[in-house]
Amino acid sequence: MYYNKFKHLLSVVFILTCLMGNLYASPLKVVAITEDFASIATSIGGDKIEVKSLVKGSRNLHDINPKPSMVMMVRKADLLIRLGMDQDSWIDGLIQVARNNKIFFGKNGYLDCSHEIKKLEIPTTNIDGNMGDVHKSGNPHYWLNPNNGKIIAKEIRDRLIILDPKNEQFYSKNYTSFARKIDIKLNEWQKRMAPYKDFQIVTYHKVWPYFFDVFELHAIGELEPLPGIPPTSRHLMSLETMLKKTNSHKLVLSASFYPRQVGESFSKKIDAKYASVPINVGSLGIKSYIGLFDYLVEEITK
Amino acid sequence: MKKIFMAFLMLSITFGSVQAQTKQTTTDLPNISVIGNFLGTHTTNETTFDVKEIEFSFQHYLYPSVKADIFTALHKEEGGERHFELEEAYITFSDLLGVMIPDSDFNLGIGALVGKKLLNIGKINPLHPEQRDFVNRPIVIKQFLGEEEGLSSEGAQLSYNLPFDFFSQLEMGVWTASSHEEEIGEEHEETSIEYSNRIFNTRLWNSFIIDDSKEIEVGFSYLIGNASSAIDNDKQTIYGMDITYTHELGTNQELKFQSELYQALYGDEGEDRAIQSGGFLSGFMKFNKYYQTGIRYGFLGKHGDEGLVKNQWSSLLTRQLTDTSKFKVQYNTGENVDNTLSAQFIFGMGPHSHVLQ
Repeated sequence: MYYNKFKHLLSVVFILTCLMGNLYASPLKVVAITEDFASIATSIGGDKIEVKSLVKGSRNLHDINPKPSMVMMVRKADLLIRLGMDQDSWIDGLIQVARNNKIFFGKNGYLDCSHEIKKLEIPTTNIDGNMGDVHKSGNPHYWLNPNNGKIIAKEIRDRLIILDPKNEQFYSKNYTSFARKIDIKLNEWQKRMAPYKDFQIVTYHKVWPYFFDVFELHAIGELEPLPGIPPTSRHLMSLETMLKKTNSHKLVLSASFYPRQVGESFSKKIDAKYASVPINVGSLGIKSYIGLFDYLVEEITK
Repeated sequence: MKKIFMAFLMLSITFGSVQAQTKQTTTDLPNISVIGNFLGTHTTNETTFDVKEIEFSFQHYLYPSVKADIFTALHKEEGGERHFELEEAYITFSDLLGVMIPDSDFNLGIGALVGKKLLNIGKINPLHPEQRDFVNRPIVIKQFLGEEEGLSSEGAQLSYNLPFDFFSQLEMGVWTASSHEEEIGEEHEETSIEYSNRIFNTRLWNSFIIDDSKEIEVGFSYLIGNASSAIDNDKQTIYGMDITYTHELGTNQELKFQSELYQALYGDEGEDRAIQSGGFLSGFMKFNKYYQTGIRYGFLGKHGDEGLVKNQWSSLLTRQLTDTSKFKVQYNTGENVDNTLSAQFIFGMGPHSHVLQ
């Protein structure tokens, strides 16, 4: 009789062990704000993590309407990767509704990737609507510098090691490989972009400071008179007058979610090259973070 | 005197915060915002322009997962009087167990809210004016849940995300309904909605993904208590259903259909109970970052055998100026309702935010 009880107990222990084993073997669930951060996370986490992104494709992160389906992703996440810099404050509402204590602020599952980034365009004076939609924490498009991609990858690596220490070597090795790939590709991209250092570049909105920083490009103006204010005829005319005075090559560069027509017609007026490009992974078949820069460099230089 | 003191207090805190933000110093001040709601209306009888509401919000985390939200407002009533009111003041506990047992990694998934809040009945009632698509609230919501201010109450609410593969949140609350207070000179008057009963409400909010760009939300609401603006001290039972379909057509382009249907039973069980029904259906199209338009049909049945059946058609055009300011023009017409042209300017200053609703 005791033998039978012992057998049952042993079976229960065995089943529980299998279940626990399965639980521990299941990949970490990572939720990233965009597919750029998701792609970097995949490069580091490989098959040890399962990655989803809240925002698909190239979108203006100002204009995201949080949805209940996003709550479902956040609710099951072991790690939430944010852009930060007050650009994604709508994620706070998702965290509050999802009530997943792993990803609350300050927990290991909460990662704001902007912390170690050298931020550009931080306002030094009081800001208000008179200046348009200025970001008080600085320009938030920091993933558009591949060197910042390495910083993001490092933050993700460190966090994955905390959450899943037994795979530390795997994550570290992947990070080293990712950083090396970026270094090699950056060299190639910089060579291809070098002729554009002398171009006079007009952008639609101030999306590009980090991209320009790494490729040593220079923006001489924006189609928007002020950040977030749509282009006006008067502003475009004064920009046109200024640009026509120079003989340098010109480029009008716009993120693809801004109206194409304005940039296109303006580029014709000033006899400039025009490029309307996505700034995130996920659009137009761009599958990875490195693929994003391959695409951007190709589109600008072709 | 009290008003002057309150205004002085608000300004002191606000300027303190602004000064701290200017110097880029680390502070423990809450996020402070000001929302302005300016409204002009034209009917066959009158034309008015009102600084309808100036809202001050204070938002701050008190503890990891414990957040305080306070919304006060200076309202202008129909009589022209202006008064300070506590619109909402509540503490949200996103991880109830974690607060009680900080070392626990177990996720109970139960959230709690205590304080004064616009009740979660349907999609429209909990919204502040700057969150709404339309200038005013549908006639059915006004009738069952109070005029433009909505039904807010003091009490507590528990929320739980049901363990399904789709989003499904159950909320249950017990409240003491707040009367809408006005300060007129040294006197206090209670106007608009009169509540004396306890209110119990529950809402089941579900959402289903159709594909990456389409989502449909279905909610069911139930309320028992006195929430009528029509009859004082009359007990009501309200059943509600809401459906919202959103379709992202492209960057900054969205189509939204929304409908809420309500039925109210007045009086206690065993009595001869009057029934009243109503609802609305709206379509809303966002063309780009700057322009949106909408159309809404609302209806309200008789209160038992009394009153008139009302039908209202509304059309809307919104011009978004910046992320925090917009201008709306809306025209209302219909059966047994006033023809009204409204123009509203809403602006925000500061990092004001609302939870997903």
